[in-house]
Amino acid sequence: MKKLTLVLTGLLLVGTTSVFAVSATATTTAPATPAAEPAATGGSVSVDGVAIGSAIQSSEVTGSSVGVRATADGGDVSISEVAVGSAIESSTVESSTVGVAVKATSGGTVDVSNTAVGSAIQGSTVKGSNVGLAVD
Amino acid sequence: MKKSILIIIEGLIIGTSLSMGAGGDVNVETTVITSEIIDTEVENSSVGVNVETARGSSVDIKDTISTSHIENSSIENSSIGVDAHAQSGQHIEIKNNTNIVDISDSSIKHANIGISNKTHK
Repeated sequence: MKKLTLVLTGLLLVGTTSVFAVSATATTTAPATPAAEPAATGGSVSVDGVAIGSAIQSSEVTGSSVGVRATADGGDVSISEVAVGSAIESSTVESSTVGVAVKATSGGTVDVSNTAVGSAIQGSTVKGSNVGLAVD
Repeated sequence: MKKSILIIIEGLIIGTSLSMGAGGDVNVETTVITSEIIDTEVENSSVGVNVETARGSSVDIKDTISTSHIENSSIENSSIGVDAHAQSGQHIEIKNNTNIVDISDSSIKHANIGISNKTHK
């Protein structure tokens, strides 16, 4: 757990400092032929090797998601090697998710491993929300 | 005295946007996404990477760095960062990503900030 927290800090610094220096390359690909229609009951969610840092200050967040949000119809949910840091100060967060929110309807198994979640909330109001890691 | 410029963005997509009527897989890889919104109102819009497909089979977001800085702004019914949707989707994978979100003095309503990824039956 301690190791993952340190990794998060390092990644935060890397992300913040390098993001303006590295040129953006967006590669979005799709096959030319349409994919076969998948079965309606299938589907899975995998979140692996992800670092999320969310800071909210003197703000109002309603009915929103901040961080990573994944929703799939049916299937298994797998979350591993994830570090989540959320800091909320003097803010109102209502009916929202801050951090990682994964939802799989008609889902199968849920597997969460090697995950570190840290949340710091100060002088704020949080109602009907998920802060940190939420699996539904 | 702080000088501020108010910018209003409504019904717009800024950045990379792909919409495919009969697309298959959606892959967003090795991508750096920076979204800086200051003294701005964003409504019914997408800032960053927005991908939509019909009859998609999988959505993968790998090896990306996404940073969103929102200051003294209002974001409503919008997505900031990466927003990927696939109809009839089967699989979602979010791997090796770093996502930094910094929000101050702002109002966020019915919005996705960071990475939002959804498959539909």
